[in-house]
Amino acid sequence: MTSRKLAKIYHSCMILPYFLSWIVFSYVVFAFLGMENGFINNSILIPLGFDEISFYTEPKYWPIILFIVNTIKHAAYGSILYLSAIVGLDPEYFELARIYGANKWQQITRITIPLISNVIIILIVLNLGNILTADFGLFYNIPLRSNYLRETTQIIDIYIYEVFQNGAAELGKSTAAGLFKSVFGMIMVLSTNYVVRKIDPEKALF
Amino acid sequence: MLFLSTNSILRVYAISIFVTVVGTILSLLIMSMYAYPISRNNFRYRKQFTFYIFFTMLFGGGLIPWYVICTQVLRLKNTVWALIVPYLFNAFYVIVIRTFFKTTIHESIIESAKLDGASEIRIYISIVLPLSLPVLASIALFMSINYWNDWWLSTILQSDTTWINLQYAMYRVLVNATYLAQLGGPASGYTQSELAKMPTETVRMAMCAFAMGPIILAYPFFQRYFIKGLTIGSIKG
Repeated sequence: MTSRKLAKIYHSCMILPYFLSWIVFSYVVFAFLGMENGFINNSILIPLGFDEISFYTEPKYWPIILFIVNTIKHAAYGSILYLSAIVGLDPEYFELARIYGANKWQQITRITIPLISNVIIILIVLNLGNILTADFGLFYNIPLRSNYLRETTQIIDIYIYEVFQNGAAELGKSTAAGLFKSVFGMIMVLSTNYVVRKIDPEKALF
Repeated sequence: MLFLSTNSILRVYAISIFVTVVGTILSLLIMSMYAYPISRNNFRYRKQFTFYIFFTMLFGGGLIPWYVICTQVLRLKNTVWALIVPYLFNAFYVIVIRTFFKTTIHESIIESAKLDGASEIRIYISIVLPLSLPVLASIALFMSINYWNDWWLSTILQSDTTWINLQYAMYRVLVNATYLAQLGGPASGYTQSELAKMPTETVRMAMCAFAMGPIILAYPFFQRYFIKGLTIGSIKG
């Protein structure tokens, strides 16, 4: 980044969402998707002559909405690991590439990505280890507990919570689901750690 | 809670501030007190104690056992401590602090303090803590964000509205309003006068900005600690 001050401002703006709670996010998402005053319906779809979309009753839009919201919140946090890897690269590689006339895009695809591929692989593998651990706050708050959206927004954590709220009769069922999740999660973490150790012993958690 | 009066907004705001301040201070104290012994090489059982917390990161009992411990053993249900105690101890942060103690605080400093006749507690308070201010500041930032943004503990451990915090109150207002809009008035079981008191969307969005306030204001000052905190914590070793 050429201008340090500008880089800092970008960075600050990107990390800020990480500090906001899911509740605040659910308000913001509601401000975008709501029926009466929502930004997308009133400022984009209606002026362009499309029909309104009732997002909170249509399950089919939610996988992509949840994906976007989650990315906005966590992108900067994840990027810090890559940033520290890229900063650690030897600047001579880039200088040499510039002398040979490589443009920015070529520098990215030919130098940066191959050199940090280890970090990329390890982060993917580690995330696979947490595959069952969904963000409860994301799935619980962003769809505003709408009953219509169950099809695409129900996850195991919310199932456990809801069965638990049903009362004493179903406690066993909920406990069993929780235990299954814990055991499965532990197996996943241990096995991914094993794989990571095979790729790069330095990066393994233990 | 269908509607938040000025009084109840101030109350939940005060609860949030209290929980954040007290929780952050207590958790820093407890976590660093756990981290210090397991960072010292002459503590014989440090491996066992480290594994004891490390295991909690790998495997947890799940929601119901956690709930039973909180309500039956610790008796937290419907008290303000329910919003503080469950987050006091975070295994990951303890290991981060331990790694920092191990790598930055040299054995010889502790040795020389001991030669001068300082007790273990004295060494911890007047040497180890001041030297590890950077890591403590980072952890304090993370903990206060955790406490301020929490809504989960109020959801599950508060059955009435006496001790709920700001985030949960906001959640209740938004969900109830959407629910009512879907049901359409009378079918919801609320009386007409109660419905009339429901905050408009503008008021709700204003509340949202109000809740974000402290974080937006504090954020520029703490940003450097945040980045430092992320890169500081290698949990190996």
